[in-house]
Amino acid sequence: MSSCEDQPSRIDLYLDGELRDEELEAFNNHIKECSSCRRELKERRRFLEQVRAAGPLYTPSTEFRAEMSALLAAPVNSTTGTPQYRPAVSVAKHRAPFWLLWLFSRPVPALIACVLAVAGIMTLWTFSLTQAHANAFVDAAVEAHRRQMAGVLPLEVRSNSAAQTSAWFATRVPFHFRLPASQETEGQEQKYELTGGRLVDFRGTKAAYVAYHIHAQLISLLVTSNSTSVASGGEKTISRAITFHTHRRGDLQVMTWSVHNLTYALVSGVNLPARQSCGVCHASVKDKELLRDFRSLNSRTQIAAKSVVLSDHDVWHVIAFR
Amino acid sequence: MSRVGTNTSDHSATEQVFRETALQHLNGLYSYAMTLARNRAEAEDLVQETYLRAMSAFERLRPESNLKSWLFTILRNIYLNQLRDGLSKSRVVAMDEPAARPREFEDESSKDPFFVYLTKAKQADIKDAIERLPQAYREVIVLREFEDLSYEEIAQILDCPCGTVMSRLSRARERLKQMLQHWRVVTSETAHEAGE
Repeated sequence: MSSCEDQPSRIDLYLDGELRDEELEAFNNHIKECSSCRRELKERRRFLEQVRAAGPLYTPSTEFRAEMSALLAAPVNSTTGTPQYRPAVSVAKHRAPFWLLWLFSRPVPALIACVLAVAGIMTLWTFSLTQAHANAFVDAAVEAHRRQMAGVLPLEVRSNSAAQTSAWFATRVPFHFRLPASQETEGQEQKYELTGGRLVDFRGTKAAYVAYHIHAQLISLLVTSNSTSVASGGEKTISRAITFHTHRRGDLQVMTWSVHNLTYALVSGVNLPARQSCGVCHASVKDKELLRDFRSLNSRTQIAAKSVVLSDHDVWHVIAFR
Repeated sequence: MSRVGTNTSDHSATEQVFRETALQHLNGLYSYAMTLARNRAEAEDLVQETYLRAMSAFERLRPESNLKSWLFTILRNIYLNQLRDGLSKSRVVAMDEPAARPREFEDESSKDPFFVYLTKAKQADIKDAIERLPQAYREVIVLREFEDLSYEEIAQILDCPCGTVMSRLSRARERLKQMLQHWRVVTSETAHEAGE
């Protein structure tokens, strides 16, 4: 053992008490002669002493010590060979909930489960929020309609011109205002009359309220940006790629739809199932017969729709009034 | 090193020795269980299960057997079985484990508050470094440095050759030394100031 190259491992063995007889003697002889290895030995010993002084790493609690003491003192069942001991308090009380342990013990499935759970919660939350905003918009439209009927919501612009009304709203609402385009469709017999409009508040922003009359019946239209509310909920009717949502609020029917980044809510006294309630305010020529029927009716009489032809995807459908 | 069962005819005496000696190893068993499981509840379960099994089997322990390494071996086998059965939650990081009380420094220098502070800080760092070691290294460090087990006893517990224990321990110490490199500067300076 004259070479210092072997000594580092020998030093560890020496410090761990693993050198025996000749090996120990040879090591002691080498250390006496080699100052470098003596220095190394001193340094390693000091390091290990410091490490050992840092112990114990963990200490059992007093309660657990008492439990184990009782366990070891318990008599052993001669038949089963197990101690007749029942812990006063199960150590399992400290155990984390199983689901938490499962999550930690299987990180990849747990991560996937967590991502899916978060995605699900986010979807539900978004859906709930969308639904809440949609309902709020329906309620706002109904409120405006009732106040207009009660005469406590005076119109700020009075005009039967769609162009003038649109121009009035253009600079007053924080979105690109657009009346349902079907009004300007040529060849249609207009069965309603635009009365005017005004601004109303909805969720802290300005919304456009537009009033129409058809045979002395008020029809209200509330328009807002689809960033404020998106049509949702109610009974769905799809026509020309637009989904109409029909809601009931007491004796009023509200139809909402979203198109061109806008959301509309049309309030009327229609009292028919959504799929049958489609009368065309500005019906096409094909609907003349239907409109004749409608015209001949008393405004409080309920009729059933015979047929529906949608002339435009922004069309409003009003078949019957009570 | 405690050995039991030297006289099989004296059953009650052997049992008594076993009961007393087994309790003396509670700290070591718990510390080893924590090293493996890293979770207080699971560590306690491991120790309790170890004692239960040992009590049922200590009569079969050979007279020349080492009780301490036998208990540690039982504990490790229970842990490995649980791990194999997917029952171990060893990846759960213990968050409720209070830090073990640092051993009071018994040197004269302990009267110097700065020295005491340095010592405690260093001990905390050493513990932290051991905690951050890979489990295989952590295991040999705990068994050797804190439980004072021989290479042969450690090899028996880990069920591996002595050479493996030796090389693993050497690498673990080197890793630990690197992790605690910054303390060498402070220690040298402190030692220099202390006139060493």
